[in-house]
Amino acid sequence: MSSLCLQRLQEERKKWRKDHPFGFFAKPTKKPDGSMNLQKWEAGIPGKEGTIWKDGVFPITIEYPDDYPSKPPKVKFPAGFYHPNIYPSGTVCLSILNEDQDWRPAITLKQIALGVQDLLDSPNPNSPAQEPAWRAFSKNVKEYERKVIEQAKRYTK
Amino acid sequence: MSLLKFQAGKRIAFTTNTNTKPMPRETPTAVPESVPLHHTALQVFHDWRPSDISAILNETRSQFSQLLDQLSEVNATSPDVVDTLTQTFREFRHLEAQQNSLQNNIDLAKSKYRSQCEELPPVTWETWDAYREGELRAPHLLHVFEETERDSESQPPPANSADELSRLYRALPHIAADPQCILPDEAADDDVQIAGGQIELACPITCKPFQRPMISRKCGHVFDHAGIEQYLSAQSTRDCPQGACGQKVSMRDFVPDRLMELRCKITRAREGSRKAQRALENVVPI
Repeated sequence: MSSLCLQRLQEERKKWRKDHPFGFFAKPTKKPDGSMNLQKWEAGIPGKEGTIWKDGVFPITIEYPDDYPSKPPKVKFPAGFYHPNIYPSGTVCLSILNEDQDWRPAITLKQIALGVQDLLDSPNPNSPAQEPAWRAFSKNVKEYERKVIEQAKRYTK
Repeated sequence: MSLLKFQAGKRIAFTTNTNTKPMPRETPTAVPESVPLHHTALQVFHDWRPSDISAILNETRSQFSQLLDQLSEVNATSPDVVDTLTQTFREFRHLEAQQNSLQNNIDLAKSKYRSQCEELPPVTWETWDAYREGELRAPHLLHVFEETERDSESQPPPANSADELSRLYRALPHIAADPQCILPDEAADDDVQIAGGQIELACPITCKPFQRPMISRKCGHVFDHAGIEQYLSAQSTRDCPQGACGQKVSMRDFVPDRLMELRCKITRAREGSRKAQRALENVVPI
């Protein structure tokens, strides 16, 4: 890991501890030897109030590559997560997380967390990443909403 | 005119007092003022230059520039030092502007004088009497110069304050009071990095206080040298690291940001003095 990557992640951790949006959590994981692994974080994204996602706090993992912040981190939900823009593997399809699209080194963890929260209730029908949620979202809203609410209950606060 | 230093070796009759009456005709050596300069004399005259003090001005400028770098962390927050420095620089800028306008006016006056002389018929036996009697009259250099000076005064002074050093000195009193303040002339610019109406003193890439701030001449975004260098090491030209900035940047677009350096220095100075203050407060009388 480059020194810049490590330095930046330490600053990200400080910044997050000082100030983060309400209802969110994020922390670096532990290595088997008990030391902190700054390149892999676990975080919780709460569904927005007033949406069908409101009952859940959804777990994600954030993996930072060695050349972060030149390259974006990889954000994943649990495999099989129900959302039109999330791949079956759980990988999030979001332009700010794509190096060839809108990723910029100035984007912080807070912005990523808020971006993912936004994505939950505002799926982009033009970039489907999985069959079931995308099909239901475009063809059968009732079924889509029922599945989302059901999933939110599995990840209750 | 006091700065004019005539370097020509030859002496030429040159009346400086505009009110003198024409020389009495009986004196055979005197040439009436109305007669134009002989063409060789004219050549000599046009070769005159005011003594060049631009080297001195440049030297002073670089000393002012060094002064900013040498501002110690104590001085950077002393209002007296900042005031004196700002005031002295303002006086220097005034002098510099005067020198430039003198140089311009002399050049203008010379070319006016030359073109007016060229319009006159040459001095021959046929025209001599007309010149002597003042029917034909060569332009008077001082009049030409005074006229040029009046014209330049009626024009607004050129807005020659865009240079970096002037910008730094203009900013100094503001940022000495508040190193994170938005400068008055930048307030209209939406593109500056603002967090709650303040300039961030940390690099958006490294997220640490600036060590070696570099500013993009294309978009004005500032990053630390280490951060932008790493970002551009994989690809030499990339999107500006600042989100929502549409510019493509490469390393050669970046120059040191002296304003940010000054902001950081003043911030460090303030933190240093606060620490010293706290240390003093903690001293317990024995």
